[in-house]
Amino acid sequence: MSKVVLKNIDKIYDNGFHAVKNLSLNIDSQEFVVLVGPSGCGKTTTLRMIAGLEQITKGELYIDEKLVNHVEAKDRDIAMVFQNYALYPHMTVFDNMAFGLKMRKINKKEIYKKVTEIAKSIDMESLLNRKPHELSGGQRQRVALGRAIVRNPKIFLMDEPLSNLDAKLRVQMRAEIVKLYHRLHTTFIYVTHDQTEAMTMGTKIVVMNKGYIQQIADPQTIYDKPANLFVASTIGSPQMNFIDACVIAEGDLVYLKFGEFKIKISSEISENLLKMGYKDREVILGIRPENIRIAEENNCDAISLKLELVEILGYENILYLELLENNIVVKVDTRFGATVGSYLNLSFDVEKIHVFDKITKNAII
Amino acid sequence: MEKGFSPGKFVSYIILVLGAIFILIPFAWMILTSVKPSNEVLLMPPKWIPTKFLWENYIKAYKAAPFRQYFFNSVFVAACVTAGDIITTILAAFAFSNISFKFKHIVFIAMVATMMVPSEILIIPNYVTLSEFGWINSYKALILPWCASIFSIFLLRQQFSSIPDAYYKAAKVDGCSDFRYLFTIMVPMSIPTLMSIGILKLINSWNSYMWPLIVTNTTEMRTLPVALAAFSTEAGTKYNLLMAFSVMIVAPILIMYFFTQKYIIKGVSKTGLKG
Repeated sequence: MSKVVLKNIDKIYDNGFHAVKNLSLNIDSQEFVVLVGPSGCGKTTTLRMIAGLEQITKGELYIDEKLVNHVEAKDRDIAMVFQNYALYPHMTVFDNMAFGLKMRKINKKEIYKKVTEIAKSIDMESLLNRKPHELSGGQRQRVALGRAIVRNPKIFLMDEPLSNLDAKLRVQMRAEIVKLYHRLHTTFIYVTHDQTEAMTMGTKIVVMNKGYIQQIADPQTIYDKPANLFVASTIGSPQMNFIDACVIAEGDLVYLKFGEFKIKISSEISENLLKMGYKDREVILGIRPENIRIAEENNCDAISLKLELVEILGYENILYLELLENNIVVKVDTRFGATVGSYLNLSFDVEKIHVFDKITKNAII
Repeated sequence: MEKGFSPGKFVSYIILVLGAIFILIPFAWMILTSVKPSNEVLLMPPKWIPTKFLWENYIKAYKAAPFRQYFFNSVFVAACVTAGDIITTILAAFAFSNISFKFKHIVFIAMVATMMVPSEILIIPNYVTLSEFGWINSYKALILPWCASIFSIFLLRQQFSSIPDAYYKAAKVDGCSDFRYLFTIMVPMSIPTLMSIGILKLINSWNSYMWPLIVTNTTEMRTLPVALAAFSTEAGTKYNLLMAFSVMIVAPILIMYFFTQKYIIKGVSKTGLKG
């Protein structure tokens, strides 16, 4: 159980690459924090700085209120699970799990007891004498987790631990890691580029891009109220639809106009837009695929678009419709049947629309 | 599906068999000559199979030089050189692959560049240095100059560099020191390469002729290849005894090679280099 505080941290590599920029983050004890973002966004560098495997160029890092910038990795009481598991190939599963304990000069009896106990809990008891190359991907992953658990660390750090597994195993291991978190009740810091992992595992999500934190919030808030266009496009699958639009006011009503279409927006959103001076200005309208519905024929607010493609997923259908030379994506029930090439009437859930500034890309409302 | 026979396979077998014959002929010649009577050695046209197999040539060859002393010297020197080379190679390869220091790349390139210098050029300066130290005609002179090899360092550095960085990071998190990481993780993971380095070094040291000839001047310090000179006299060379002695020198290396060839091939193919 440990608290981690990162204060104005910068990381500049020897080649001049500025990987992490002025990063500040508070991680409370027993939180499951997921750092998510595309490759090169600085998430792994951040994790490595917390681990003590990467020097901090500027800023302060505290673990349990103790400044640890210059404390070695081994003295930080952390355990780390790596993307490629980093199991020592010449050692058995037992030796791999026991290695960290041996380094800490724990007596052999105690090591044996701890390793067999943890191996039992991760279903690896019968495979303790195997070498890593004799194990499947999932088993290797479990050994890597076991090696981390056996040390009973204050903080677990995980660097894309599931990305080498196939889709089915990934879902299974995802659940196992979450169960492990609930069982151990300690601080987890998890790095991934997969938004599904971030949403399903984290109690707090940190979205990163180009070395900067874009938003820190719980999964639901990140999904419902993305701080900017980047967060909105990163979280959610299929991703949010974005449409260039113009704010226009007609009498008391405010509309977002794009091409020949316009949609009326709720009074709360329109009030905000007008107050902030967006009248007659270009903005980006964002709407998630599940917030667009197939409208009744006689709905005067509906827009009619041509259906380009249908993806049948079994539990829902994904429709791709043509809008202003782009596609917008709509999620519908599997019972919905429509032929490609036909025109569909769509209505937007006005309460769920997002509006982003065209220049800053930040959310306006 | 695997084909039983194909023209390509046939041609490659022919080439391999020809290659094997090409390599084996000198060995066959050496073994057959070693049991020939003196008058059949230099016959023209050559006579492959001796009229009489003179196994006593081996006894004569054994007695012609203090074989036991030479054998001990060869084994001792080769073992020390190999052990010394492996230790310096492991440490240097680790420095070049895992530790960052100023001008690392330049130093490494400069070291590799010295491989271009022919070893004959170095014989005289090295001899002068050792004689200044007063080491001539000692084991130190036979062993120490060969306890480091750029080629070995280069080979092992390539192997160390291919070990993913995650192992190092995992070991650091586990509380492993650099030294311990090197010997508990990197070295065991590089056994095939180290084996091939060791075997190549052992063979080199075993076969070394020029250096022991120059730095030693008494029978007590000489090694087996130097002893071969004993068979060349003013009256000519006793080729049959020379060959018998050569067989005795080559035999231990051949036996060792048969047992360890899989490591040599594995090590060399793994580092993507030819020996």
